[in-house]
Amino acid sequence: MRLNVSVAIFVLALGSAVVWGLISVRAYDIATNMHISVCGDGIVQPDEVCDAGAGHNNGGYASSIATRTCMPGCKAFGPYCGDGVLQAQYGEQCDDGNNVSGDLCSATCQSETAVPPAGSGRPTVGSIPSESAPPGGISSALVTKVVLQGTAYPLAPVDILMDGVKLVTVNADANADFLYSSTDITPGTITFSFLATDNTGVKSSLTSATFAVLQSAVTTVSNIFIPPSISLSSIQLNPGDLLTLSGQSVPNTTVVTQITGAASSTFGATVDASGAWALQVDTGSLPLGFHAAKSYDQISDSEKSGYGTAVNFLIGAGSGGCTVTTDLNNDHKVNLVDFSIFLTDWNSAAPRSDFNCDGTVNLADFSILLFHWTG
Amino acid sequence: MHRYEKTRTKIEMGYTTHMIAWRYALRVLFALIFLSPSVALGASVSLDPASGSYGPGDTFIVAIRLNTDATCINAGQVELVFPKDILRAVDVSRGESIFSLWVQEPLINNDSGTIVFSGGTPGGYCGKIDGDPQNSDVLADVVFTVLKSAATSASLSLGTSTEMFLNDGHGTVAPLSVQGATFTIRSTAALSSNAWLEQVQSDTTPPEPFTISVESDPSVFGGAYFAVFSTTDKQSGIDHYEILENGFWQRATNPHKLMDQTIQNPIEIKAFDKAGNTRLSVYNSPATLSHSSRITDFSMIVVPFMVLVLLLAIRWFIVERRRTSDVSTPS
Repeated sequence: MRLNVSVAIFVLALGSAVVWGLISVRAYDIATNMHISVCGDGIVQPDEVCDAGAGHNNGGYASSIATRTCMPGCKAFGPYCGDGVLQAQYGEQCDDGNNVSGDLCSATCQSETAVPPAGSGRPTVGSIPSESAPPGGISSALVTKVVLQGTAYPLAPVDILMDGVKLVTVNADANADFLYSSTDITPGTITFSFLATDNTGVKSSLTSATFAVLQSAVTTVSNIFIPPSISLSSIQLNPGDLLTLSGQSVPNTTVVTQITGAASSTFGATVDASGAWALQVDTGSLPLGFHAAKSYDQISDSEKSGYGTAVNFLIGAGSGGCTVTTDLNNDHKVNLVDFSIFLTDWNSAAPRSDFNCDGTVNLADFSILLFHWTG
Repeated sequence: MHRYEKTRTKIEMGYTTHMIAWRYALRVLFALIFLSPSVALGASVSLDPASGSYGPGDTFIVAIRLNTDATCINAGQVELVFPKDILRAVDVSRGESIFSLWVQEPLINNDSGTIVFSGGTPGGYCGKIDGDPQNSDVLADVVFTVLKSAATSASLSLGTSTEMFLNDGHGTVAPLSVQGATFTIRSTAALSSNAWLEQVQSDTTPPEPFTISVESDPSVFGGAYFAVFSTTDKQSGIDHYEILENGFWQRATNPHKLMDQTIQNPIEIKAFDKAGNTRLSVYNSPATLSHSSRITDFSMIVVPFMVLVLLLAIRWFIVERRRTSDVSTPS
């Protein structure tokens, strides 16, 4: 009996420690759902049908199944003798879906019933005029392309930054999906960053993806989940007041919010069809003082965004602590200009660039500036 | 001492199965509380390769890599310490770097045997993305040449000022571990080729296109106009920038206080990579444009006025001629 109690205590303690560990890790958890698929690396990935390597996915006509080529994009093979489609433009007289002779259609897609006209030879790949290559064929196989796809908020503008500089703004569709592709990219290690603005003008946190872009390959990054936007009904409340947190995210998903000092570790809120989410918190359950709230979007059982911007609020009397804006020239953007002004304050005690109010403009302040970057 | 014995006795007296379970439970609890976050949040900076064999005259590249281990890092500083009597740092390439903005560009000090740099990336670097064909985790590549020495090994380490910051908006220092490298030094050269030279020679791509903006702020350069510019080079990396001022190209760093404070002339800045490829960016000042538009406005008033004057002059000339001819013609 005593042993059983002891085992129970041990298991309980172990359980709480594991839970504690999970919670503490979850606080720093990040987006891990991003995925890259490279069309042109010679590896057939789950979302690809074929991949012959950089510069070889030209989709040109092939005279047999064995020599068939991959289309640019790696989603299908180019036309070939044996694909079951009669491609007269490439000299096929028949195509029965194989490269076997003696079944009325020869291994090279010539009819075995008809007598070949005198002097006419078997068509070869070389006889095909280059103009008849499929659209986007041979030349596009050499193109370096990047495709970026993810979710933001319904119809939200999404700023896409390349190495910190704004490249383009695309609009998400009604389902909050966005897509961008470019062939004007120099191969190498590149950081793309994403910033969405919700329907009330509140910006998301900046979500970044750093990866290698290969020459003559199509690099597709999917599952770029921009975290929910978040705003507060009030930044200072009396104990017991209702606090409303709201914002936008992907329709019909769940926004999970973490509030520091709250008894409950997380709060869930359903996102409606327009992308709006709201959460009411009874501040009576929270201790007096400053609190921070941040949210992520649980898109599916296995997919979620990273945490978004943390918003701060105060319960009870008091005044704001260190509040310094990273928009140093007040143009509503945090970009190279602010960075340049910041550099002139580097290692000084200039209050405007001392974002954490520790008396020195140093790397911690640079980190805060980069967190608020808008490009 | 007395107290210790007393406590110990008390524990011994209370040694029951129950207490043993408690003690183990507490140990597990403490181990999980203090160890698991540090394991889960342990970013690390390491050198690649971590070992190797080189001889006098050999030139080799050491990559400084960042493993975020499930955290997001957006800024950091690296201090690489090397044996100055055995190795000479000849260059630092940022071509592969995950950092795009630099508060301190790589500074090589061969007298003290250190290389220091600080940089960052907006939005943070959260580690290798599933499916990325490369590691994409390089902070910088350092190029070393082996000197003549009696040494048989050379150890490189990451100095105490090496630190990384979490992308959390609070400037939190990330728990960090570092891993150096130790190379065997032979008496004769070990490499048949110079990898860095080959990399530079194969780089024919200029730095990425960039734009220049001209700004002024009462608290920067005493309110004077300054140029803002930055770009990257994906192969050998950015070497330096030059600006055309007073008819001469001269080196410049961002931000650059402009000599010509009228900002009515185009501003030209060139970015150079390590291979000498250049990318030119030209800024045409709005002041120049408004200046020319002022000319246009001016000409829009002056030209009709002159036309009017001309028409009046012609009319006057015709009328005068008629009058003259009326007078001179005999009736």
